[in-house]
Amino acid sequence: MNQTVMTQTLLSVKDLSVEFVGHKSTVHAVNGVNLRVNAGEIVGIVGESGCGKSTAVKGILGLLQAPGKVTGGSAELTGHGDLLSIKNKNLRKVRGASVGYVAQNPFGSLNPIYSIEEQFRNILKAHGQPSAKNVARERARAMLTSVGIAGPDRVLDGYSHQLSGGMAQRVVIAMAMLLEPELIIADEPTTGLDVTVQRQILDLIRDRVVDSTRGILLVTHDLGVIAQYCHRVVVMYAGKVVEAGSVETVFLNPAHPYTSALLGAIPRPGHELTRLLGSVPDLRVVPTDCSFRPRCKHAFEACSVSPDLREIAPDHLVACHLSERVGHAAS
Amino acid sequence: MPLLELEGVSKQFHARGGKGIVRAVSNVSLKINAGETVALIGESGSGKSTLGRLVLRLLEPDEGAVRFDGVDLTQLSVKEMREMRSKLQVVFQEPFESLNPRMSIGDIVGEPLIIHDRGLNSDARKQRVRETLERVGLSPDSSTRLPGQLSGGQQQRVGIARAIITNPKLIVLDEPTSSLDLSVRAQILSLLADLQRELGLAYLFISHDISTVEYVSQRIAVMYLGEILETGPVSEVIRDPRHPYTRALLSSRLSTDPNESLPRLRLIGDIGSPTEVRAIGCVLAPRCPMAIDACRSQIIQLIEFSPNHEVACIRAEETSDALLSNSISGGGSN
Repeated sequence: MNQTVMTQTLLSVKDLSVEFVGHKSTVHAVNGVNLRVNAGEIVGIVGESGCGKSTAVKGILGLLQAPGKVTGGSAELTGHGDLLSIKNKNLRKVRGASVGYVAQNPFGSLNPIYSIEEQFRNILKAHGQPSAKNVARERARAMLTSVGIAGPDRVLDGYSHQLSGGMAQRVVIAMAMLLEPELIIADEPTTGLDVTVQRQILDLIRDRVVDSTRGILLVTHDLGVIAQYCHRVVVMYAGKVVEAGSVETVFLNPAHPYTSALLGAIPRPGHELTRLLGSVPDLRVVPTDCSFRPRCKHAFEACSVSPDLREIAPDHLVACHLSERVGHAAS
Repeated sequence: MPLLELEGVSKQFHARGGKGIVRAVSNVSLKINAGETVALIGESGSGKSTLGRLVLRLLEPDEGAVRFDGVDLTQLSVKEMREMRSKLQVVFQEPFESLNPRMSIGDIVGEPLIIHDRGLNSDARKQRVRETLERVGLSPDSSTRLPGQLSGGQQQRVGIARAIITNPKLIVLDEPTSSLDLSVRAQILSLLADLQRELGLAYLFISHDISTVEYVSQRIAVMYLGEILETGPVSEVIRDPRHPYTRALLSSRLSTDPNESLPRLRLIGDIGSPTEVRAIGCVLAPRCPMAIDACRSQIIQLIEFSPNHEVACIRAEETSDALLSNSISGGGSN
């Protein structure tokens, strides 16, 4: 792979914060998230329900619904500026053309009353591209074929309810890639699918990126997906990034106790499962200490101050006071 | 004598719109011994949940016998079956969906005791509920709360408490951890293992997740389109799968070790339709790269490959990654 291609940054998110403001309280769902996607790279965001991973990407894409609101930070998409400060109308032009989005439930992304062909055409129309019937159909057909659909004509003439879950997700991926965006953000794209279909879909997504100038931000709770498909990983807990780095480094030498606990919770024959006690903190309160402290078996005095994300080795970032102790490895 | 013995169990449904028949479960035989965990694994539409319901007689089988403790459940009257259910419990996938949102946790967990008329007065019943809640790792104080006030993991603990309060011998666990987060899943799996050890429970563990199955069970049965294609000790089946479907299913696992990549095997096309009934031949033949003419013209049955390891494939001896990887171009047709 070309080294200069690898290091070109596509997306750079800095200090992203998202809040949900209610009548009585405010939920601080995302608190100062930093992440980066380079060209030719698949970056995974992993974490458990409520950690803010989906909220963060919806914030980046401007897809948050009230009362959710981005309250700080920036999301620089190379060549397009800060997505968070682009006005809605212009943002719609960037979305689809420069950033593709694949949501977890494909049926939620497809319109049940339009044929699949019409929905492909609508994308072209919305972005001011040639959308004559034969032109649109040809482009859609080529795109469907490239995502492994053997009978694209039957799919184009049909409606979403006629598709299986795996087929519907292939169609959504084809739509997301139709305008050849540089970045695709996929939020749990294979979570509802059977395992045999899952790998086919992930292969498809990966094929679009390897040896290209494109990049993917993949949100998942599945550590196997991260291990097998991502180059770098961002581990989130309670709205913050607790660890980030290359997948090999983070999975084989996790430095944050939460990452270790997650990896230890994977069932393996002959291994005791890590029992991570307690539950995620209440995000209505802004913590001054480390969010993981109440559940951490390594917690010590320093943990009363919230740790910053710091680089402990090249491309390995950790937000944990333990990493400041020389020679420490979390276990 | 096995605790549970299914013999030639079949169940068909009429397809929606009267278009044909869905063969949800076809001629399934399976045994579970006391204190043992047998996993039923397969993709959506394989018939694994239907089989779980047939075991509980939540569905009536069209054919076959379901013997529990030597008694054929299909022959019992409604009243007799109701009594039997205290020994035969179930935990469902979606904990919240399976709990009445308006009943307190204490009432939910105590209800089976009322139904099964243990001659307990209200105080004794409350005491049993408190003990059972503690046993599954919930505080006895939670008995006054409502399901909606609990987390997903706590709700599943309530489902488990309700299942064990009648001292059952067998629990059907239908994807009990599939909707839970990884760290919560680990807690529930550990709890289930503790309860099995302490109470001598047998589990029928229905799942699509291979790593979970490998962790919890002693034996495994692999289902595809209503049939069991392979069954045997879990370590043996996972180490050396003999049915092409099992091999393909296992190869779809994603290892969490970034340096380990599993061989890529792919069946041709997507999962078949259970409405397309074949009178004869292997259910996997249309998708199997190893299929030969005999696979389509013979009656294929489970045959013993090695002690306790049965495979429904006439080419079981030859099954290998090499023979299966010829199909890499497949996939994707609807």
